[in-house]
Amino acid sequence: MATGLILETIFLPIALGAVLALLGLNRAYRGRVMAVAASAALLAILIILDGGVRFPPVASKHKLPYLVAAAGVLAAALPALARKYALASSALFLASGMLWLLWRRISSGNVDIQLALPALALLVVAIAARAQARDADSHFLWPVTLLAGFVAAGLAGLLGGYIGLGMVLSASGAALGGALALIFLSVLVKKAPALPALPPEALWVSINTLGIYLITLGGFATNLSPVAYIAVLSVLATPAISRRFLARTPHLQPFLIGGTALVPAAAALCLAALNF
Amino acid sequence: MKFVKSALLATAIAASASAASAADIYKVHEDHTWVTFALSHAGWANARGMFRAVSGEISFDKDDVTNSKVDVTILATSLDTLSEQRDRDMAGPDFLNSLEFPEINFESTRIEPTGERTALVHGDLTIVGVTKEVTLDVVWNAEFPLPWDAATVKTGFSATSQINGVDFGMNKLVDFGLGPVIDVAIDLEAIKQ
Repeated sequence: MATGLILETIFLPIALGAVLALLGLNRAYRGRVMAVAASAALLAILIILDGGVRFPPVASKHKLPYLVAAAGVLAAALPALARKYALASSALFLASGMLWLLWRRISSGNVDIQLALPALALLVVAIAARAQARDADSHFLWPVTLLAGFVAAGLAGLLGGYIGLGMVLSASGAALGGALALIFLSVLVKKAPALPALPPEALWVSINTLGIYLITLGGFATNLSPVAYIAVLSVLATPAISRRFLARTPHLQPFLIGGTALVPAAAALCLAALNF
Repeated sequence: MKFVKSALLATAIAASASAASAADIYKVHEDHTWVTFALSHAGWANARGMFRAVSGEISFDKDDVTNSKVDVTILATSLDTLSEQRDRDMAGPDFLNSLEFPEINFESTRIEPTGERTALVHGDLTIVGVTKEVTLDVVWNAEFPLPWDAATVKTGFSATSQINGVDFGMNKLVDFGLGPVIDVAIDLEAIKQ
């Protein structure tokens, strides 16, 4: 059982991430293809860990595959959403997703202060989506931030009573880790293209998938620490601080950005553990 | 001819009304109802728990038990496994998902007598929004007025069943070595209305 779990949550996602990076490092594949590829990788992880796609979806967790796929289709069909209109497109996508995910809970009158958390996630992630569109020339800034965001959210989920989604989030982080490892290697051997391997379209899909997962976590985790959740969201502020590291050698960038992201991510982990 | 048809129809309606009136209505007595369950905990032992909030109505026809009906609702959030931490985990979306699906419902569809005081009650069980047919093996234990209140008549049943959590979409049970087959035992008292 443990071997299967390690394979599904660590090694398989890393391999999927590496395939994604291979596609991205090949100049022939850009924007649209990478949006679909990122969505497919995230969807594969979700389906492997959480079971098949269910139609019609009944519970919020059944709606997640549709939303992850929709993010990929949207970014591939309209690349401008990920570049020029990232804030508006993310806000609209996440707001519609939030309404759909929380509909059953809201309609049954199960409304309380906890629902402020997904609303906050919507706001933060939409702003992050806008910021990533402006940092379109870095190999590492947003992928490293997202890696930290997925892993921190995953650990908060595992300790917050939503084990299934915690595993999916952590595994999605592992996929980004696999992609980053390959991108870093290609930078080391000076084979990386000038443009980032993960273009804004792929990052838009990843950020919005993280947003959808955060909304679900905030809306349904039964033992979630609100402070830990806010610490997870603050991981997305990493680029605002670590943008200055982009002037440094590319070999150092992932470590400096990762080190910055580690502060709120570690805080989120400690706070979630204290609440456990 | 028209008169004969009307007379036959009236007789049929009267007969069905009299059959329906043979059933007594009972309200589930929440304080004296125990819905308990047990499932394997990785093979070490059986994890046990119960639901504290159960309500519902039973239409019980003692002359023809097949005319009886059962409709019971359990509050999913009333789960008690003797550990608050575990109760919160079990209430989460991986298992009972009680924020989205606060109620578990059983509605009988068919009753099959198996003895003088026993029957198989077939019905639709809805958990986490998934409805599956299950069968309860029911024993009618007793019925008599409360010793201190002759006007209040109480009846009582015991029932057992087995369900598979995966059938209701609780796939994480298997990942955590729980069940997935869940033994259900119900002891229910109800007050005649």
